[in-house]
Amino acid sequence: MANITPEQIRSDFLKIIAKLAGKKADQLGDNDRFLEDLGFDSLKSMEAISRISELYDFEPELDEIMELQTIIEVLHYLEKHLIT
Amino acid sequence: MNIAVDSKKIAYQKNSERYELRYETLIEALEKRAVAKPEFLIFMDLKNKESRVSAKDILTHGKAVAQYLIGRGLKQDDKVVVMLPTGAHFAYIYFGILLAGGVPVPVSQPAGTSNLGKYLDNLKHIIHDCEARYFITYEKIKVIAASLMNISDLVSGFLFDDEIFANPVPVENHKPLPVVKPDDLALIQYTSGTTGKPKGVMLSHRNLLHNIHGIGVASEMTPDDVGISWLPMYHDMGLIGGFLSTLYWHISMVLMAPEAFIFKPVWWLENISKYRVTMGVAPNFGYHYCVTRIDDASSHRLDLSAWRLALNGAEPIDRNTLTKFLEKFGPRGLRDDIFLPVYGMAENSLAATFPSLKNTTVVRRFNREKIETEDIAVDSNSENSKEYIDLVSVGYPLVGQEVRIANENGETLHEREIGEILVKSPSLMSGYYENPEATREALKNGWLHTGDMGFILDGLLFISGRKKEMIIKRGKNIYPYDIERIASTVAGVRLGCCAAFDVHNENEGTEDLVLVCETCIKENDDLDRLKRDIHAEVLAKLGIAPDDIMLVPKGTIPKTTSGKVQRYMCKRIYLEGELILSQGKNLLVIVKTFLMSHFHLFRRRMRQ
Repeated sequence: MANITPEQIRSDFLKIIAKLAGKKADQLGDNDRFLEDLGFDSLKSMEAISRISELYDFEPELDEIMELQTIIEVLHYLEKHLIT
Repeated sequence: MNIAVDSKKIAYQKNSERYELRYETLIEALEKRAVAKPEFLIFMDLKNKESRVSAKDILTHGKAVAQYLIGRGLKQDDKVVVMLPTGAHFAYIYFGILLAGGVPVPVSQPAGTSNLGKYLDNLKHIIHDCEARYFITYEKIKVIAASLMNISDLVSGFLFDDEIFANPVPVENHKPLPVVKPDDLALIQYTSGTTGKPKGVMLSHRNLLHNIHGIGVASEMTPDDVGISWLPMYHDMGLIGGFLSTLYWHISMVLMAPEAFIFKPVWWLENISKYRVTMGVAPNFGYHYCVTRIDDASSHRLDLSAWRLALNGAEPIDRNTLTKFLEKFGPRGLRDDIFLPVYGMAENSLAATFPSLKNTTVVRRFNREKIETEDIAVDSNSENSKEYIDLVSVGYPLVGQEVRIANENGETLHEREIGEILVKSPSLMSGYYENPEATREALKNGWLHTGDMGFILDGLLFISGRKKEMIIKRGKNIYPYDIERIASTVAGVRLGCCAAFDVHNENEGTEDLVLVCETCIKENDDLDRLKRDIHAEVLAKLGIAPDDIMLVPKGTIPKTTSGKVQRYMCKRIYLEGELILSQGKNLLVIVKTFLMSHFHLFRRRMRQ
């Protein structure tokens, strides 16, 4: 886990979001909100979290992560927990 | 290839088996259970760690909640809106309200990601509509949705669950609890609409107990069964199917939060393996999600051999999903006859029909054209998927229930003839709360008009279509008209020239929402912008995003002579168009599509 960079996390997470939203990664903005801007319901947002945590093999606090509303908030959360 | 329609049997089924309800009220069911078999619920938290809650716990804490509410001025028949996540507090508070003589009105929670504006509008409507005096929620909601605190102005008591449990009423101040009768309301369940305001389905103890009894008989529940559900507890399937029916039948029940299942679907199967679960319930997408999201490495130690019934409801059932699920988990000891496709609706408490356990999954192949255009179910042995449609039967009525198929005048049709599905049973609601108009439309001469289309064949019920073109997406009901109306208001879209419909998405195992709109715009950049505008507008107004938006030139969308949009025709054109993209070189299809989508132009030319 030592080699993970913020750039890598960003690129991986945006790929996942793009696939679930049916968009290209470069069409996504940091401040996109999952429901209002991407059309995600709460379950789809959870699926995105599920996929990224599987990729990095870590278990986030679902309680905390369920409160995050935008792409950048999740990225910050991931950076905080993945890069030590 | 066709077998003529020979049946002159009337499309009517009644289950006249004798039955006797074990209890008169849910409270009696809880009291008896607390003595006879206190072990009951196993809650799994967001890390999949268990905590156990007995029927005795529910009774004890329920009584404490009741005393607290009475102390806060709750009177008999007062409505209490409850917004809590899956957990012990939900169970305590649901029964606490009943014990105090109040009526629980459970509602969904907003997730951190939900469209708060629309959520709040709905919630305010529900609170006004049911004349709620109390609103019970959890403190964390302040973080998730601070604006929700405004709700406190609408009710006389805005309560957090923790404050109820932290401030028990001293014993010397306890009041006698009221006597609750079988015909008292035990639940008002609000049905979701897209823009149509939610309506409150009124259900009594007797209604719920009748339905619960029927579910148990049809699935041959015994106290040795162990159930599991990750459906939300505020929703009929999770509340009545998951929680109340297992209380009644003395079954142990494993309850997970929906988020936990989505986060790690393998937890669901791990729990089934660990607790030797015999009965599980989920909508179609749950099974599909397991197929796509669980890898073999994480599931190889599972033992699913105790699982005898997998109830499948709320969404159209996809045979492919069932097959893939069985293929994937067969090696884990999964039996191949566990799927039970069931049918029901909130207005009938929950369940209306179940298949026989001797033959759980009955699939029949019918001629697609005849079903879609002539409203008749004719057998087919075609191997061409465009010519046939495989339908999975949802079985027979539960005890004391009747089902018939009727035409628009309410007259009963014959077997194989497609009409509206009507249900009559002691589980039926007494009506929608304070809404006589909607009640009159739904209940006629004691029959519930479900709005679902289907037919009966050899006594088995088949669903052939949705509620009059209604689209169901992840359990949400969407009316095409609502979407079209909103899309029409976007600048650049031709007024009244939109068509919304669903398209089955094989990869997701669910339905995609597709919107086709006419426009006079031709520039590519402008078209892209228009698509984004439509997307944003529909999302803002309905909280649902179209999965695909297709812009077409003026006059493309087929209409009837009276100017009504022909959604079905439009869907066909759309699907043929899709085919071009996937097959690329199939010239014939391209020509055919072009002809179909520009048929009106040719017709006009020919007239000239």
